[in-house]
Amino acid sequence: MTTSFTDSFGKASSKIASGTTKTAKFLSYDDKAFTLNCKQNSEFYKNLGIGDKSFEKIYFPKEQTFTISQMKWAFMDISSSETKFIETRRGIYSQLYENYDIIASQNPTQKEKVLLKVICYKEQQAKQEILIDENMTMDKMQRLFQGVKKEDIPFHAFEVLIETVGKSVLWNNYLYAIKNFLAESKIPKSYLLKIFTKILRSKIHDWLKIKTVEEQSEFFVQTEFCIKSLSMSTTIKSFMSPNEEFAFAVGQISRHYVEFKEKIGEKSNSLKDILTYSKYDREKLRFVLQRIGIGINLAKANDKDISEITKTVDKLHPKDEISDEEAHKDYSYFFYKGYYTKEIIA
Amino acid sequence: MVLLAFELYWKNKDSTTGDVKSLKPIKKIIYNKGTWNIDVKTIEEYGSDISVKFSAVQNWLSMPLSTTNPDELNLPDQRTSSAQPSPYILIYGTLKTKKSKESLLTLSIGKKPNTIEHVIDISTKQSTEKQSNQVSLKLEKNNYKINGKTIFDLYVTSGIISREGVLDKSEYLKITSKLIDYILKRNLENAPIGLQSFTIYLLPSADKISFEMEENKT
Repeated sequence: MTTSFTDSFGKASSKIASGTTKTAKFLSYDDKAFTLNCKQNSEFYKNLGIGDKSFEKIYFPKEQTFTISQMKWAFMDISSSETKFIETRRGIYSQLYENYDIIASQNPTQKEKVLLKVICYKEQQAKQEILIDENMTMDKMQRLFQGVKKEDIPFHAFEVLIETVGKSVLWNNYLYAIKNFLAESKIPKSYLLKIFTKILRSKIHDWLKIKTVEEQSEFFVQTEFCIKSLSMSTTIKSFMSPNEEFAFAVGQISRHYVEFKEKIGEKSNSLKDILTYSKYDREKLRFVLQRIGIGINLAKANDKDISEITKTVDKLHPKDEISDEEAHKDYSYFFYKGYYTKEIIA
Repeated sequence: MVLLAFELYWKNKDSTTGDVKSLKPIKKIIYNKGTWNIDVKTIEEYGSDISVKFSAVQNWLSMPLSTTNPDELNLPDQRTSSAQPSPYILIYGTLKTKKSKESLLTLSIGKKPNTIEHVIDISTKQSTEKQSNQVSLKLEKNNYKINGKTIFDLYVTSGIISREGVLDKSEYLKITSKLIDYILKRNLENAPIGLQSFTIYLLPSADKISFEMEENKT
């Protein structure tokens, strides 16, 4: 005779669950290191009070589980089984935005009930490590995406935080940023700048060798978006302080100068030295401007070219200097941002 | 951990989609009275969704998704690891569409290097074939049953494999010939650039398949 009982999930079951889950592998039923009181198999489920009927329903819904940069992300609208999310393949920020959009359009009157569950897990052999498990209310999502336009979200916006060192992929900064974003906690801008400068330094020598600038421009679009959405606000117009704007302008001038020298056939091995200093603090940025000034004065170019570059430099030359208090800070990120954001001078 | 398990249970408790390891379109070819027939049941009849990702191949070959209600799909699969042998004979389909809109369909059976592979150019309708000397399939033999008989035994009876799991090539080539005819008669529309994968299940019967765990014999 089979006896029926109600398990801890409130489901009528005839026996305690046993065996392994198929897709929800975070329930380590057979590994003493992870189980309660070292209990295994059905003893493990008995401890949790999970019956066989509930057990069948513990899984990640496959049609709502997407892979984003090698991580698995499951999205569930807890309030409705009807909500179906569409895979954007444009990174986690776009995916969250799209999910919010879908929920908002489907539940215009029952917003208070909506709860978007966001789970990120990593699969390693037969086990899953849950990295993010967050419940998002409609109010929270509304605050997070207020004023954000779909077309302004860069491709793989937050994924720029994933670092690759040799064959290893470092996820820490990426996951830290997403956790903070979902929790509505701001990350210090200086912290993000440090990460982006480090990434820049690992790439800059390759970037300077290539003629195309798409990859570089994309990097600065993504990182600016990250700084705005993680440290400030996505709707803020300028995220640069006056000091940072100074470095940005020096970067822009450097770009015009390098192109001018290349145009007049004075492309020497040392031309790009000004682009590879290990730190761009006030002293170094002043030095770059000085070298550019000397370089223009000594250039064997016709008057028209000299006049053009002089006008451009004058126009872009920053009016205010970097303040004494922040003179020793590294402004590399903004210098390179300027270099790869060439302003068209009319 | 328990809370997450509960939340997943709560989310899925009324869901009719199955717990599957991967989302993919599925086609069945069913053995009946000496012949293998392509399943003509429509996506709607299965009650399956059409995925944005797979809509082109789903509509092309009328394929439900692996997440279709398990009672409708009738393909129980209790495997928890990809290393476990499959209860079913599977043909792996891959549609590769280039930027030039040329589409190539590959149908393969077996594990490399022992496979039989057909590559079909959808626009020219040309098909090429590559085959190894012998294709042995690693199949589950005990726990999946139809009317009390194991699926494995039914496969052997149908003649598609030997008791040792070796594929009968001539029988398989008859099936693929029929399958390719079926494919080429249908119009592929709006195939997205890139790869689209699907799986074809060869089944020894259309009857209800049950998973009956055999107790360990001592």
